[in-house]
Amino acid sequence: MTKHQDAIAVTVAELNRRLHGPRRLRMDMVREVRDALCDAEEAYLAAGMTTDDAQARAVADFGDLDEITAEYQLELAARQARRSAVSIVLAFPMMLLLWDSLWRFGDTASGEPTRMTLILSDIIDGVSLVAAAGALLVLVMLCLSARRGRQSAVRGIARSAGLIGLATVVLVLATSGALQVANVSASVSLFRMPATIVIEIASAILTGWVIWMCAACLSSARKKVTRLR
Amino acid sequence: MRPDAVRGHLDSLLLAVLEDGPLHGYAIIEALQRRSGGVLDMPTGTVYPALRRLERARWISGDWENVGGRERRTYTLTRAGRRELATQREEWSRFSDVVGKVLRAAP
Repeated sequence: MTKHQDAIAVTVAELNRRLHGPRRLRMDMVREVRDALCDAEEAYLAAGMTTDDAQARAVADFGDLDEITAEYQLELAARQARRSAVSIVLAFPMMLLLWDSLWRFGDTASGEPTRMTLILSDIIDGVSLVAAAGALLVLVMLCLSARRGRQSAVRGIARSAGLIGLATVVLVLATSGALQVANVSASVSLFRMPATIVIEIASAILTGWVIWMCAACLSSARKKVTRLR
Repeated sequence: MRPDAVRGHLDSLLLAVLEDGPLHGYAIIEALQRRSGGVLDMPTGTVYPALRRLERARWISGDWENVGGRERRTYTLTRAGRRELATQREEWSRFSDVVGKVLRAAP
């Protein structure tokens, strides 16, 4: 391997090292950059340059790696924000439907729900739906910020998506806990039903998904972005 | 031409070169250079993240496709992208008319 082949490999490896975010997109970006450098190298070779010179020119033409990394990192943060928003839009309304159907159709044998039960379940419904609406807004903002070239807004949007998801998880878990305590007898009979166990597992998976997506979102939004225009 | 001057118009330039059909990243750069008569000379690395942003804007869509026996990420103008290109063309034409009128030396 020549010195300049090393330079192309180093550029690609350096980009790979600096980028953080969804793995598939990151690999996709790095692969595209590698192709880009190879294309440029081939064009210079066809123009009669030596391999070393062609590769050196390809790397030089590519531009400032700091700036390119910063732009790519924003796209990774945006993609992670989209994934978080999708998890919020799907998970909370889905959990709402699952638990509501259980409380509604399950054999809770507890008669009319108390006022406290109604208030707490309204809080869960409200928080879940507000979160889903907030996440839909995040999806719209991601597209609009790209259309208007507002790259400086991306990190804020990503941070919002992450915080909406995590805050909703905390609120829904706390309220659900309170709901179960307020309805101990009904909860006990509910937990004897096999359907409850299935819904518990589904909720745990959905909640885990949201937490994972949102934590990753906050992490990729935190990555230092330099030389942003 | 200064790269900074081009940057503000990069979106419309990219949409314009995709108007005739799908292209991969390097072909887009070649088209920009060819259509500008070699005057547009910006860092090639800025084009690739910009393409990802235009994808997020849903003005273009990107996919890996086999081009000349090699897998390449190819970009296609979407319907929304076509509409945006028409809008940007119109805006640019009005803008350059106005600036041209003012900048033209008085007779």
